[in-house]
Amino acid sequence: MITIEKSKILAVEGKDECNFFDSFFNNFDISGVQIIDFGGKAKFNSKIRDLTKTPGFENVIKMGLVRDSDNVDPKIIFDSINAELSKLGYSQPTSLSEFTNDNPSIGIFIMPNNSDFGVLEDLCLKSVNSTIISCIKNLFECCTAHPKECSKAQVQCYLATCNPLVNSLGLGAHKNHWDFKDIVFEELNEFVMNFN
Amino acid sequence: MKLKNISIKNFRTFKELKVDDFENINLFVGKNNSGKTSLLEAIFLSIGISNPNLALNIDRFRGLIHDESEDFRFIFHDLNYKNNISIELEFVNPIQFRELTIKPTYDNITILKNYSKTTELINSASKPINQQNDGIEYKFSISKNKNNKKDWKTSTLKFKDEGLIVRQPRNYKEELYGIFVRPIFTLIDVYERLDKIIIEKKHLEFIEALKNIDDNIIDITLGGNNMIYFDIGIERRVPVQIMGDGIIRLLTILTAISRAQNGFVIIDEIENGFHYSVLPKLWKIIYNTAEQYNVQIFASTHSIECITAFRDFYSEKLNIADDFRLYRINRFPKDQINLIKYDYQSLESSLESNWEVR
Repeated sequence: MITIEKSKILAVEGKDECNFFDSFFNNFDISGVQIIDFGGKAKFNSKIRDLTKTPGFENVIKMGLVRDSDNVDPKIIFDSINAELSKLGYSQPTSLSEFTNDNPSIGIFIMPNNSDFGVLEDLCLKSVNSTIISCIKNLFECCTAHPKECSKAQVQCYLATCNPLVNSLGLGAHKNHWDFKDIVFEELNEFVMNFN
Repeated sequence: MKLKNISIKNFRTFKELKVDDFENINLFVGKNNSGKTSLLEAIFLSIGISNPNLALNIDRFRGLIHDESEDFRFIFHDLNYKNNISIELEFVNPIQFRELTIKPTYDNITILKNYSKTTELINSASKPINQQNDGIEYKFSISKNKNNKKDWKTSTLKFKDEGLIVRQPRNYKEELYGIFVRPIFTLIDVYERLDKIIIEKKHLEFIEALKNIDDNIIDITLGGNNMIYFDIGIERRVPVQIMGDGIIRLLTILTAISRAQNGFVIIDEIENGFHYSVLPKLWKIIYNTAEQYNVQIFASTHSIECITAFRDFYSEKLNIADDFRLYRINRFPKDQINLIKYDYQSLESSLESNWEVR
């Protein structure tokens, strides 16, 4: 059974995001953050409620909430999460990426960059050389059946070219297949620096 | 009648505790010494609000036998007589408010200092230097409206040379009935309850329930010396002690629910004696029996298997009603208590994520 062991927690959508942020924190020498898997976006808000009930939450001083925007305006998702926080009696951040001054201090980041539609995969793909991305897109053009989740497929395709070979974005992060120093990660970097 | 809210002050572990929104089935979890049993005891005391003997009983349940009036300290927070115990309850269907205050009583004796046998004079400075506690006083009121003027009644329990003296108001008859099921196994209470149940032929339904633990059980009968026997299809009847803890425990719980019809059953460490594999069936039996006899259940557990078993049983119900609560009592230094409440939905969701709830 999972309990809250650390005073700083980051809640993310799934296992892949857990692996990604584990590497991201390590890359920027940030330690002492417990990454919590919400198991999908479908119940994201109710999982916030459940998380606040979990033993150890009373010791949490900083909580980050990260989810994908997909095809929804990030501002709408931000408002929805804030509404849940309000219902639970917690203060709400006034804007994306900003943390409240309350205890726990709470911040929200919506993938890929707090403004566009998309997912974590879109953010990572933006860090890849544009020539390579063009090649990947050409490959898909050559194929008769186009994948439904285009960015996830492109990530798989890109990872297939990396060494060592891994089969997920998060594991790719562990193997340094994403360049966290790239400027596209700057906004995310500013967000996670709040955990320092 | 259903207990909905309770507020406790200066009782056992609790300096102050409020619990709201009780439902038909209420499960308490928390670390050791968090106050689970104390909360169950506070509920039990308040159900038998006129009976100060219960204050002795709850200590007996813990294996404490009082041999002097000072032992009443054990029910007071920090063992301190200075602050009276206060318990307030709110019931629904129908609405009823109960208030109970428990305070120590003192014998009217004066211990003089500076008393001289030789002069037989009492120094003018002599005064009572100590009060001798001789028992406890219950002051209670029951009303249909919280703001109505209270009609206070008093009961007392005192240790005297001639023995334990209980005084209860003659004009009060308790309408609520509750049974406390202890974690240890004793058969005397079960025997008495089973006697009445067999006379009313209600034991037949229990045999079906007991078959979930041992499907050889055919019948149950009472013998002399508080003995309970099972017919398991062999030549001789078998004493219940031979049948194992699970049978004894289930029999204890079922007879308690049956006898507490329209009342309350309080079960400390509900999982005691049961193999984890029978726990979902156990919950089904307890839930259905409590529903049948209109009994509100309050129970404590340490066991995650017990909690997940409830989830497993409940998730298979056709109609999921909002009639379950789980409360975790978190105790922190300096008398700080924090209570976390789960309904079925939030419990199910937390367990689905494999997040701890105890």
